[in-house]
Amino acid sequence: MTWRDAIALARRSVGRRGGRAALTVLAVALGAALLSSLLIASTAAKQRVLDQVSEGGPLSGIKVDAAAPSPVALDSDNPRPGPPRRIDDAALQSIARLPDVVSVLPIIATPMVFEAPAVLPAAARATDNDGRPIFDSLIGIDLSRINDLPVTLLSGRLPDLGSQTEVAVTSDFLSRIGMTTQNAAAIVGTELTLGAPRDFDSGIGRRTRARWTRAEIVGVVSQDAGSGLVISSLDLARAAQAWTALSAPSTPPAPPTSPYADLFVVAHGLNRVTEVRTEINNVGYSTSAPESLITQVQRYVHVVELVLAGIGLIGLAIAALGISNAMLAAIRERRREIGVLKAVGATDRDVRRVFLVEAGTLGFVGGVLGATIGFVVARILATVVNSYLSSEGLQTVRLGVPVALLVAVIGGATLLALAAGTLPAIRAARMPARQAIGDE
Amino acid sequence: MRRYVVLTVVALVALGACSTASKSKGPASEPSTGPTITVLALGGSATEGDGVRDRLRDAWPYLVFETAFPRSTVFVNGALDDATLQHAITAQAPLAAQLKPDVIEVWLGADDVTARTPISLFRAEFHQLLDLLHASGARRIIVADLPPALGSTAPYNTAIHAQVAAAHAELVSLANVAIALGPTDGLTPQPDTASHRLIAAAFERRIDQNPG
Repeated sequence: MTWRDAIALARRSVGRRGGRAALTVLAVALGAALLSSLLIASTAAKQRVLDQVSEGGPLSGIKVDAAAPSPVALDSDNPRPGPPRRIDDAALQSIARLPDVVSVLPIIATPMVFEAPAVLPAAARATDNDGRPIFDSLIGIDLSRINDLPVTLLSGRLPDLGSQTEVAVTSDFLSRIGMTTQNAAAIVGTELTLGAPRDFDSGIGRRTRARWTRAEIVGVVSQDAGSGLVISSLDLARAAQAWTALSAPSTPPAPPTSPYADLFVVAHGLNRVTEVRTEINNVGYSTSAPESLITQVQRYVHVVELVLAGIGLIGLAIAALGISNAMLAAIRERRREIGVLKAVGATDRDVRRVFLVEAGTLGFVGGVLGATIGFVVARILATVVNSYLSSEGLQTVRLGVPVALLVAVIGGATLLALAAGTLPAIRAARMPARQAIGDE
Repeated sequence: MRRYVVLTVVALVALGACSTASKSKGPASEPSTGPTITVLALGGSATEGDGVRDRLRDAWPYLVFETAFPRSTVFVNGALDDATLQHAITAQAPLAAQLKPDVIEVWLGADDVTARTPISLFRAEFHQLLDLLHASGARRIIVADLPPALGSTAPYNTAIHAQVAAAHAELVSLANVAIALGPTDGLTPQPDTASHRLIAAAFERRIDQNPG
């Protein structure tokens, strides 16, 4: 008997008992769906914490302050910086050349007066800030490298690269004008007036002139890249910073003159963060990173991952028992067929092959169906979780396409089905032809 | 056959889900960068915004900035309290040299009326100021004259009109605009909020007449 004959026989058998086959496939599919959805969910959590940590990304990021390291804050997540120190392009380049540094992103923070949208959304008018301008900072970031920065889009979109007329406001900005992230979408599309201040001596006293620009609020973000209420392109922030930098010298403390307020350094994995921080401190800059927090989260996520995988495997094992049961029932019903097969010359091996092909087919189809259902369920879960995270102003979970995981689930379901079908197949193969026909 | 169709549909659904999952957030590919217009306003107390409750929303230079120019405009209000022409030449005109504005809006003279600056000196200083502004390379210099509400403005307006014509600048006539002065905290009475809207409208009309 060839493989083709065995497949044809298995197919015919499955077709004859469609109801049972469908239920068996459904059992495998449910087990596989449970396993794949749980594994995808834990992988997404892992992607958010562990993968970004181990392969570089915002979580393995180190903030470099425009200050010298403080000798009293050696090993802290948020060390007190030392005296101010300029961060310019030369400093950026020297840090970029350090070993285990994946990328160095400049952050510009420049003082700014924000005139909230003249026509505030209805949601904000109830708790308007009396229309008073808001004095805070504009954060200029490299928008082309947004995925390397701790910035999460809550509503709308990010400003275009290099745009001089688009900004995104932070959730803190919404709080300042009496809005919440729940109604963040209402402010998108309105106009913000930005005034970069410059102090000067008018001859009759110290005065301030502003360089005013208008920008459309294209999005709302939650961000930890820098200290400020509004984010923009580096170009927009640089133009404002250049105006303010020409302020007349004031009495101490002097305004910061560093071209960059911070650098965001991405290390080559969490295990390199400490070394990179030490190297940056040796270059002469104060650093901070949430590494100890991440180490703890790492442990929790690993435990959760093991528990979820265990639950999924139990589901799949129950499905395998279902396959075994279905195959044993099939043998009982098909004794005559087995006897006829043997009578016309089929060997034990041929009979075993027919039953294994049938079990493998049920496992494979159930695995494909289960992996698909599991992926869809995981996406729905991710959407629900992300809407909650967004409403809380937290970074969202990015659900990738775990191709290897889905293939592994399908392969695992097929192998498990083959294993579950092995015993029934052996029993069928060993059945003497006379006994098989006689029992009928 | 039906089984194959079902399997194909399942595979397509899975592929569709995968393709939507791979989308990530990010900026749009079309950058909204473009040429910017720089506008500079020079003036005295009223131009700075004295006399209105919210100068950033109600003072005439900001109203013009908000309504007469595109979003990509950079605007600097160089006005200062009690600025006579002499003061403007020393404390405001250097801004033009530094900013290289495309458009300069000027409303000066009110404080000269109050200070009773001699007309001959006023004329010479206005000439000097417009020379300095021209030297900055501004495409348009738009100058407003003085409304009657400010007092004896006729001789000053004559000087302003003459200098504007000589310098090929553009005139915004406020002679027929019903400006009302309101009290300010211990300062000279200044145009009220409604008057600022009228002044802004006069400037906007002039800007719209010759948008190039």
